[in-house]
Amino acid sequence: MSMAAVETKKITLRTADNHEFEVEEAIAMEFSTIKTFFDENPDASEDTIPLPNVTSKCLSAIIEYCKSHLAFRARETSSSIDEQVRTYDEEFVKARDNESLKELILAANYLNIKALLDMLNQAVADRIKNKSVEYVRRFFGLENDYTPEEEAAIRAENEWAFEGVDPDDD
Amino acid sequence: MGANFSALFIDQDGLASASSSSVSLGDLPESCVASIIGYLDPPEICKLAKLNRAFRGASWADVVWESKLPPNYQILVDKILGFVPEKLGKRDIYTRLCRANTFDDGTKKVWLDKSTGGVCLLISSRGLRITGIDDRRYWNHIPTEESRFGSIAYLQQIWWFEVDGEVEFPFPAGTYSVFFRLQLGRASRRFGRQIRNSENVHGWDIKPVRFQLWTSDGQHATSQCTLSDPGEWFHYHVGDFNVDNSNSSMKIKLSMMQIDCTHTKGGLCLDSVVIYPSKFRERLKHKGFLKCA
Repeated sequence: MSMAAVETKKITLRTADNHEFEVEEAIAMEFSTIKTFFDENPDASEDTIPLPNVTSKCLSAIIEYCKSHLAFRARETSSSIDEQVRTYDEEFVKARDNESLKELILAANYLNIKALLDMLNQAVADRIKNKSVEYVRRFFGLENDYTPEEEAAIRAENEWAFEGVDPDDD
Repeated sequence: MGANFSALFIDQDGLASASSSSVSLGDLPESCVASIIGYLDPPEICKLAKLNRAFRGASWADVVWESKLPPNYQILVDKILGFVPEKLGKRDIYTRLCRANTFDDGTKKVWLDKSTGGVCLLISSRGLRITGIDDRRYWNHIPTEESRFGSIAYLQQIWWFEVDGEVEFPFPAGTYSVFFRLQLGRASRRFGRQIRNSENVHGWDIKPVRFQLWTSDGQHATSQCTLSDPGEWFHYHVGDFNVDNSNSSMKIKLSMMQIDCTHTKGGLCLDSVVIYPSKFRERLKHKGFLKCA
């Protein structure tokens, strides 16, 4: 199958809820998992790539993100571009509730999109920073799976972080 | 014809079989949790270890602590701990470096600030060259709990007031502030209570004290300050210095003097020289411990 003379090659992705997305090759290559696949299999002719762990809602957001960042990167670097990237990233995250952030992280992790994953991780960290343990537990939907003995051990091994040498306990 | 694309996903930390109908962040692999908590500061990371086993595991991940350690931590470990522990995880190294480690024959202490990873260093009064220290009419070492070193140098009275010191240390790159920790007046315990005695304080209001520092790469800072406010410990600010390259040791010389011999001065407690990352100055100022800003 010849790849010659195709201007913008498109790749089709199929999500968990059976939607198909056609994306430009450049965008699909932002997904390291897909890029690795094509690097290792240059003759591959997958018509459609299945992404059983990604919903269409997630994928369309991710595609938007990658498209915008590719466009930013194509322009000359300058502090005003950096400012625009920062604003874009902030807006991308701001409107999303905790549930969708979670879904996006799982998807970005699955597709291995480092820049997006870093940005999302930072956003989640910002949301849980300085919050109580209970809050964070609810945020992540976690159960406490420790035995009482383990809890005592955890307390002991982490004590150093909360006491002792402190520059301003004069 | 070509490899099966979905085979690529099978080894991703067991994620392959998770269906995304009900997403819970609890399904996140430990590596992902580690990435998130890596953006928090150490006390928070340790606090969140209480959540569940995955968080506890993530709170021990080397990748998390590597980013908290100063870039030259191997050198610091050699200098401070004196041995290179094998198979010590990065978190353990961080924890050890956060303790007030004593070195140079008990005359210095150094530690990493838990939250920021910045290096803090103290030089005890016993590690400084105090003019007249051998003459009990002038200076005496007094044991006290008010010093991290367990004793301070008390000045009864003297004409030539001079204290010099030096330290050579592989500070990580950054800006540092240097202080002398001083108190006018003498504290003692009588009948189990702290008593502050300012009777002997004299001579400091006549001329200011001059503080100076020099570095081995040619930096110099100086300040002049009138000592005041008996009965409280203050950090008198000498100046700041920069470290650009953390791969070599920085040598710092310091001095504090008031050598106008037309008058005596006395009634001063000298605890130590203090070197902190510059941003701690705000903290000190905020707490009212800073002088000579």
